[in-house]
Formats: sequence, structure tokens, C-alpha cells
Amino acid sequence: MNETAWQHALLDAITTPQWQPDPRFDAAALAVYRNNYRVGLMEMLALVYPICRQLLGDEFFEALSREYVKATPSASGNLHRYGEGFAGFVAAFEHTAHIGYLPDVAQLEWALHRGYYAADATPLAIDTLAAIPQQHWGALCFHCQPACHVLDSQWPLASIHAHHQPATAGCAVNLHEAQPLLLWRDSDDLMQLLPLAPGQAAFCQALLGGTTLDEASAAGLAASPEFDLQAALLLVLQHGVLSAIKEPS
Amino acid sequence: MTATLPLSAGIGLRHPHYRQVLAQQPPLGWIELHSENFFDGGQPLAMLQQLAARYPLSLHGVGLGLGAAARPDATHLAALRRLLDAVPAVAVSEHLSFNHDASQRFANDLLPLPYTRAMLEVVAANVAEAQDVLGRPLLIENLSSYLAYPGNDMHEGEFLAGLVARTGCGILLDVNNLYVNQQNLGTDVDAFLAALPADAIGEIHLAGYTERSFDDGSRLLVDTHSRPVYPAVWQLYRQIIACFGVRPTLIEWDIDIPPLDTLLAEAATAQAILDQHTGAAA
Repeated sequence: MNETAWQHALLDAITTPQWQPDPRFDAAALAVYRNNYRVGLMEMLALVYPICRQLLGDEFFEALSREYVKATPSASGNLHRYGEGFAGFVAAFEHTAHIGYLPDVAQLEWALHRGYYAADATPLAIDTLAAIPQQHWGALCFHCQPACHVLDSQWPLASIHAHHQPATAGCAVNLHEAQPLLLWRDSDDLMQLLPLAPGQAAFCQALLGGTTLDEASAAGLAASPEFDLQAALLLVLQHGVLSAIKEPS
Repeated sequence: MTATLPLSAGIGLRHPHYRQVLAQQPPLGWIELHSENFFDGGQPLAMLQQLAARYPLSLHGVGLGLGAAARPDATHLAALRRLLDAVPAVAVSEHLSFNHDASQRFANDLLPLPYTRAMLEVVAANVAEAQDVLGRPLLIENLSSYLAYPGNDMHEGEFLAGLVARTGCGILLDVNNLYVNQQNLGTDVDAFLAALPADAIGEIHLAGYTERSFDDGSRLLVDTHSRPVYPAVWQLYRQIIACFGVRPTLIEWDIDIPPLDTLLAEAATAQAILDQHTGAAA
């Protein structure tokens, strides 16, 4: 159908970075659509990545966003989905590749963004778990809160994040301190983050990945001999990481 | 009537005013919010549920691209369905526009489509598919366009009428878009309006445009939703209400959003026009 080809050509003309005059489309009209396309995506990046923007400065961030938009077409009708690959892009981009922590900060901001909009889930009540005989706990798997995320980073992401929040602006950052992070959404629906010990991070990562409690515990111990299962289990229950016990399949 | 929004004026509610509206609860006939800002859950969804408990709610989508030659994105439709299951919306609307192709490449914008017989069948199938998934009829909005398919064999009003006949959808009549198209593309407003099945018009939009000039001396009215409603658009709105009768009417403002009172004053102007015709209309 010619109509299909025309729509295809219009999408090409709007999204292609280097525009060439095209007799099929009025230049002024196309300029409006091309501008809408770029500005919309760049504004979304600025919204999702405020700390990266502060770290790089407005002007540099805008230039970087422009390059990202050139390289990365939108893949969803929902603008909130745009920008997932930003961390990988800044890691590979020649003018930002030397800023070691920038990709991890971008990953953190993407996880905060997705977590903020993630589906709701009721936290698992401690009583629900307590009602099961403890010798069966090891074989249990859990549904986790969709907003939860573990970030295993060699950088002090919690400190960098705090450094850029109004309430804790300018607080000290020790760039030699690794801070694996747990991200979750609290009862007020606000995203929170907590630095984890290495064993806790491996444990949470495993649980979010759908392992049994025994397997998660083994992952925690493998990461650190100091791993304390009871403390780690309390931590995930307190922060609502677990939402329900999976029925055995 | 397809929708059951109150026959009064409402506002498009945007992020800067959510909390103020919840706290002050100004007298508004209804409110409209953008569906995609509330997909999935968390604070946005909780806020929307609070708002829906206080005002009749219209959900307005910008991302389905039902005017594409390609089918609508199933994940997007599923997310919209989950939203409708979580929030009591009185009306659900989308645009007569496209935003993607079959390779799932998107431009997050409202792009014009060819108004041809072949395209009408494709878009009708898309609208029908969306209505099946959502379990309810949609209101489909006429578009502000800056260019047109060279092979059109009907105008947008006839295309909308064809959609109504094939799918049972309703029409969201955006008066600003119609005016902008008249100025930019020479759209025949009278022919457009004459083609519309009056009973299918379930909602009206009003907004402000921005005039842009180009190096070659040409000018375009751009549908920016960044200004008060222009006098010529108010005039066209009066004509439409006089002709079709009163309809739920929305003030849209999406960029350079003014204080809430400015939006409420615009809504009051629309309400005054509706009041003049209440009782006189069919």
C-alpha cells in the first residue's frame, strides 16, 4: 500500500539525524516534526537523568543528549520508556568514557525512574512467613516488589546521589568506597536507596532473580563469609522487597 | 452520545497542579489527564485514583498511534487496559494520528495519516482492536497537521465519520486543531463539520497555538498548547456549540503552564458559552 510507504518515509525523514530535502514533504512542516521529535526525547532524558546533568553541566548534557537521540531511535509510544540505553552510551562515548562513575550513576537514575512508575505490590507480611514451619523456608521462592532493584557498583552511588539531593547537597563523597545498592519504594511511594554489604547485595540480587531462599543464602555466603542470613532476611522484609510467596510450580 | 462526561467545562490537569487541585478542590465539571503518565503504578497512579474519586475523569492517550498502517503496540494497549482496570475513567480518548511503523520504530508525536479508503479500513481495524482490548469505545480526536498525504481521496471529517460507522467509536472534536489546519493547510472547516455525525461527538478540546515564521517567509501555526485560546478559536467554538449543541469541553495547556487560576478562568469562559446554549440544544 502506498500509504504504508509514505508513513515509512515520513518516519525516516523525521528521525534521520542528517536531513536531506525531500520533495515529498514540505520543509517547514518537516522542521516542526523533526524539532518535536528531538526536543521531546531530549527533555525526557533531562527529566530521567538530573544527576548526570548536574555532573556534566547543562550545556554538555544537552550536547550529549543530542548525540544519544541521534544514535537511539525511540522504541515505544510511551515516552517514559525512552533512555534505557543511556548508561551504556555514556560508557562508550569518547567524551565521557573517562568519567568512571557516570555510567553507574546513569544506571541508578534509570532504576529510580522505572521504580517510581513500577507496578504496585503489597509487601509480604512477616506473619505470612512465620506461619510456615521454618524448616521449609529454604525451599521458598518469592515474588518481589517490581520497583526493587540491586545495583552492584564499585562506586559510592549512595553518596553521589545524596550529594545531589537538596536536603543533603554537598555531602562528602569518597570515590574509593564501593557501595552496592538496594533500591525500593517505601510506603509513601517514594524511591529509597540503601548501601548494602557485598553478601547482602548478592543475596538480594539472587532473590530478585527468583532463586530459593537457600540458593540466595548460598550466593550471599559466596560473596562474603560475614554474610548473616537472619539480618539479610529481616532487611528485605522491613523494606518490602518481598511481596508474596511463590506457589510451587 | 458515546461518552458520559458532564456537559460542562473541564481542564487538562498537568503535573504542576495535581496537589493544588486535590487540596483546594476547585469547582470543575471534570478533568482530563494523559494516560501514559500513569502506566503501571506507584505515586502517579495513587494520585490519579485520588483525583478520580473527586472529579469525573477523562483519560487522553498520546501514544497508541491508531492511524498507523501497522497494528497498535500490544504492550501499550495492555498497559492502558491495566490503567482502566485500576481507575474509573468516564471517557477514554486517542488521536487520529500515527507514531510508528511495523518495525516498532516510533516518533513520539502525533503524525498525520493518509485519508484514503484503503487507510480507513486499516485504521478502523486498529480502532476496533483497541476497543476490544480496552472493552469500551474510544473517542478519536481530529489532528493538527502541518502536511498532508498527496493522494488523499477524502478529508479528515469524512475519515472520522467512516471510523464512527465502522467501529462505533466517538469523536473528540479539537476546535484549535481544526482552526490550525484551516490556517496551515486550507482545510475547509464547513465541509469538515458537515461530515461529522453530531451524535458521535462526545467531547470538545480548546487550546492555544503558537505562530512560527520560517526563513523562506512562510508561517505555520503550531499546536503548542502553550497559550490562551485565541479569539478566532472561541468564535469557531461558539458556532460549533450553536450547531451541534452543548458538549463536554476541555481547556488544554501543556507547555509554559500558567497558574491554576488562569486555567480555571479559561474553563469559566467555555462554561459561560455552554450555559448560553443549555436547554436550547438537542
